[in-house]
Amino acid sequence: MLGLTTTATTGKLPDWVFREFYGKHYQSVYRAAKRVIRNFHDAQDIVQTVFGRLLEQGRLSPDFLKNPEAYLCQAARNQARDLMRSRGRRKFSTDPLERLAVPAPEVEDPWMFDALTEAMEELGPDAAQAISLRYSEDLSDAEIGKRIGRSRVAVAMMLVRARARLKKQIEKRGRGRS
Amino acid sequence: MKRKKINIDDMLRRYFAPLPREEVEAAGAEVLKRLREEFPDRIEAFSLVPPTERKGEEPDELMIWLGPRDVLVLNVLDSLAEESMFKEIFERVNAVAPVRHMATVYVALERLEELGYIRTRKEDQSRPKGYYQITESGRRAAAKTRRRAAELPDEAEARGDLEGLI
Repeated sequence: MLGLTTTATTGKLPDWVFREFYGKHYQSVYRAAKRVIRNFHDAQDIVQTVFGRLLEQGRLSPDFLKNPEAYLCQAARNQARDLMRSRGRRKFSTDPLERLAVPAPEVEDPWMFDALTEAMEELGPDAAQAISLRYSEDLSDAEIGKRIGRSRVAVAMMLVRARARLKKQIEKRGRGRS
Repeated sequence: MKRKKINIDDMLRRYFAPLPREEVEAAGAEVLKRLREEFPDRIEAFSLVPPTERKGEEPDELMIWLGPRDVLVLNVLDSLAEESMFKEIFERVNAVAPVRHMATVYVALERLEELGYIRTRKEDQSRPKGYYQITESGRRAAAKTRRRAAELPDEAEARGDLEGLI
């Protein structure tokens, strides 16, 4: 793959690298963050953090270049989870009251959403992306294959395995609850 | 107590319920504005509208929507003077950057064809095998990818796989 590295003068990636990846992937990255954090403003902050880091980076790793979209979405999901965990730990806040008045997420079954968010952590970036493309964009196996650079058959197998894995994780979590 | 059966397909459909397009686009524009403020010297004029939807764009502009695999396959085709069969293309791609599955190269070829960078010809319509050839706009796009790689100072790493092709 085409390796990308820094410009000698700035120690940063060339500007077109940002243009390439932001234009192509900001939508997927936003969706990935919003599904975990379930808040418009927080999801925006996460997208800003992910692409801000990309701009400050000195080089792109081979993992990134293998599937930039999956990599960026994974980074957004991790960032969202870290944010949620840090909020869970925080007991006192010095933020003004109006900043704390974040509307509660509107989900019909919070347990199910939390369980799926947690189970999605167990999937690799490619499998998580394939699941996301199938259910959020309603793409066929062949269309997903084009996006992630795999064959239709490989995508079909990946989806079957990912669904089975998610189900197992959720059942495990459910047993722990009952 | 009987445990409730999990319908993972239904759960995933609810979990991934589509977000309104307006919301996603508004978020993208807002973040871009903030990043421009944060990195004024890095992000100048940049539109979120894909080049395919813009009028009067040079076809080469489409190149920014290519992935690394597409760039590699495009450059392989550029290095081949005439029409080539899949086997030859696959072998050359593999010699530069090993690819685990043939499908990876097929997928890239399909995308490049959709973008008008390559054309294909089949002698026998009933068989999947065909011939692939780069178009003029494909050659311009390939040259642009190499120029971009050359802009990067660490030549050994930046040109990487492309260098072996030319």
